[in-house]
Amino acid sequence: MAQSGSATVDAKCAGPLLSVQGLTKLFGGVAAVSQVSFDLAPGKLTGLIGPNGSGKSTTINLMSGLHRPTRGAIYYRGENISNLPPHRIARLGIVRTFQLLRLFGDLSAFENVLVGAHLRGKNGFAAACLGPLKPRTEEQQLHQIARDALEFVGLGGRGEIKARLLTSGEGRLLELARAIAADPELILLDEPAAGLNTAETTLLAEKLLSLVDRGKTLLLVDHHMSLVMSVASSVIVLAGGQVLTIGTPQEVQADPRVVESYLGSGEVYRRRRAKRGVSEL
Amino acid sequence: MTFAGVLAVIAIPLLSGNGYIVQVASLAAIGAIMAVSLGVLYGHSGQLSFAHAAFYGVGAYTTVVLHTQHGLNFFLSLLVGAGLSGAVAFVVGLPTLRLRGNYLAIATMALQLGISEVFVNAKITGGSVGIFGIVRPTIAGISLESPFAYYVLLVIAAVLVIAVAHFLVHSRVGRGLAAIREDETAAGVLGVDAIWYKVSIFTITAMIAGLAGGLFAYQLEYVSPESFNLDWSIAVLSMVIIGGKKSAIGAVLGAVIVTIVTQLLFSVGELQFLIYGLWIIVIMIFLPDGLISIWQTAGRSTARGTNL
Amino acid sequence: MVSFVEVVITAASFGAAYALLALSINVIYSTSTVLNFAQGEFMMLGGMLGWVFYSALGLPYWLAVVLIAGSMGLVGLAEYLLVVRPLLVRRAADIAIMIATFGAAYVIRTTAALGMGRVERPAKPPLGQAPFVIGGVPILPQSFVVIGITCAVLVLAWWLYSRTTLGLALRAAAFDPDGAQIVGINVDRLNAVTFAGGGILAGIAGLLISPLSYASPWFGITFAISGFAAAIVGGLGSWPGAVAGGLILGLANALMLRYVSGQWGTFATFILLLLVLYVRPTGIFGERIAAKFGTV
Repeated sequence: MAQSGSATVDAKCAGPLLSVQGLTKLFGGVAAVSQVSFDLAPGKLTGLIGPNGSGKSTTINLMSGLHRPTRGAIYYRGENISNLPPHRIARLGIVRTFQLLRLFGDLSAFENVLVGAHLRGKNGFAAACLGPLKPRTEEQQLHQIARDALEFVGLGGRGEIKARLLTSGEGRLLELARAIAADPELILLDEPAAGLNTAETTLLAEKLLSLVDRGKTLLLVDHHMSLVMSVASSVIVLAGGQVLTIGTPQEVQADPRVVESYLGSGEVYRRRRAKRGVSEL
Repeated sequence: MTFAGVLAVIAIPLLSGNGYIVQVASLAAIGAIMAVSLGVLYGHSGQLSFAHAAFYGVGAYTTVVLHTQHGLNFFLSLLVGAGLSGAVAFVVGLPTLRLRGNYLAIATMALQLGISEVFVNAKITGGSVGIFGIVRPTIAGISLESPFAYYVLLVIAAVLVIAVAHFLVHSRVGRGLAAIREDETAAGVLGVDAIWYKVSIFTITAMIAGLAGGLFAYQLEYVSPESFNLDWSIAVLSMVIIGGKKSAIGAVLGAVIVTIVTQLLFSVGELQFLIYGLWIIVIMIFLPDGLISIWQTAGRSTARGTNL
Repeated sequence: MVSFVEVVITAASFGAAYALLALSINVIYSTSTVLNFAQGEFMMLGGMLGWVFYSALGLPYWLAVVLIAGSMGLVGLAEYLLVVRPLLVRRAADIAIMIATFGAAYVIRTTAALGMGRVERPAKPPLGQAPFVIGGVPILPQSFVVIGITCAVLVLAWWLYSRTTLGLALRAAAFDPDGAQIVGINVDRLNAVTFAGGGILAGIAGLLISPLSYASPWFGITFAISGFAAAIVGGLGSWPGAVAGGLILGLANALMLRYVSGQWGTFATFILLLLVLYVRPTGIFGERIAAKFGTV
């Protein structure tokens, strides 16, 4: 896997790589997230957890440009990205995966990853029309990147299979490979372990840690605590669309409010939300 | 082997020495250019234009006005015609392709019907009569006046267009377009600028249609509005659907089939459009990847066994 | 001043018919997201059948209305069952379904041309040709028929939509088809109902407009463009938008007819549509598209 200089922790960027400030998103008057603020430290894996409906997906959609915030802003390396379209955000170095797989079903696994490597190339329409009159160096580079990314997630032998024929576990890994091929600084992972068995989850955890070793910054969204707790260096807990707490995995696990929001006390939590006038989505 | 076969098929009309056969083959070559163009737009990129006949018409009239009426160089006239078609596509594509959903199809349908009115009513197009007296050009001392010579030019143009379409599809932007077709949101978060890509490919394919129109005008040697109406857009769409929307070979196959069937059905008048309508429905339902998919599936299962 | 009033009345008459067509497009689109290109042919057929039942066979007008509603409902249902449903079952892309409806449009149009002749037929207006003169302005009696029946149909459609269980199911399915399926709404049956309803609405629109233009098998595609333009101008999927869009389009057509020429009608529609797409792509009432635009 090719290392790029910009992906390693940058000395002059000692502050957070990404900063979410007072983020609020209303859907038809209902707040999916409200006043959410947190920072992502460069080169670290941060977990974002919370029960279903706590606003995790909305947060990641806002961060990747699929939604625009009603209030608040997202700063990436000091630049306000909250009103940028998704492809501009990707170009800055933020790439995401999807909870409900969004693979290009009719393309092969390899082609999926090649699309992931889109940002690594420059050739446009004019170059494309020239065909063989144009040197194939860039195309060969992209192929190499895609092969490496597929190999990295362990799908090296499955490149020729159409994406819709892959198992859901393989599909998850392909989403990851696609994101890696873009060589982003920040990867937003939306429940990458959903539907994976224990062995696959362990493998995923290893891959994520090795990405961190390469200097990538990761945001791991999941509602299963175990994976997040084993790999994250800090954890943000969302509940009812708001930040409940932020801390190390140990601190978060010890926090009774987190346990309450997750375990049997769903009722307590729902009642509290109802009192605040936030309806269940 | 395959190459020799293709060459033989292309050469048959020339060797036949039969004017009618060369004319049909010429129309098939023009149809192939149109079908490949729409195939790249619809089959590969997932965007639909009902206005390919309109772009074809813009190209035809522009080329004729510039070359025949104002004496501009033939190839330059073709280029300007293609450029003008592209400009129209750009203006229509820009607002519609910002939107999700099939706005382009509706807007191009309106463009097609609206521009047909322009062709019929405008002075520069010669109104419903059209423009006569078109003479095929002489290029680099070679007269293309004979339909046989002009057929060679058409084949060269078709081969070039097919090659460009092939390179385009199998390139970085080609993959971006396929990704947009499959899932525009996922393409976007990977950095593909979907709006720019969609507008670009729509403009490029419209330019190709404009080029085909310019070539067509000199094949037929006159232009009139009925050559550029919605029926022709639909005929091209049915070429793409029948042959196979996912490959250039499919589009060419469709062009040959539809051109020949149209000739055979010429005497039945409107009935041919009943047939277009029916086969579009039947193929959309039962053979969504066109006739070429029968051959491809057969080839795959004999060679490797099915891996499904 | 007189000519201005005339233009307004012509606009309202054509606008009313376009509003019905746009409504029929929206009824189908809201539930199934299918853009049905055969709607224009439904309208054309309504006009042709109106000519057959009323002008040629001399049946009473109310009976012609009932017969057209019934037969166009069946045509809409047939299109759903034979063309659209097989593609929905195969999970075809929206664009593929749209192309297939276009195939259906060609089948209907050619069948009508072959079966009922290729000529433009003058349809007999039920209240006669002699214009009423009100305040010095001559008004075609058919204008009253078009506007009156359209208002009646709109009220009926509104009642169905907002006051009945069927309407509730339609609104639920439009809001969230998957959710509607989960709570036990049979979306397949609902789609069948909307196609039948779309056929009825478009058919009546065709019956109403035919004495103002002609009944001709070739008018369907022009109708389709006017209907889609009206639906988009008003906001695709919006019912009040269909009425507003229809009236705007009627006004544009009437102005063109009066001050420029009847030969540029579709080109004017195209320019209007393009301007709306540039300036306000969601249409007048189209918040739903705005909400969908650019989201997951």
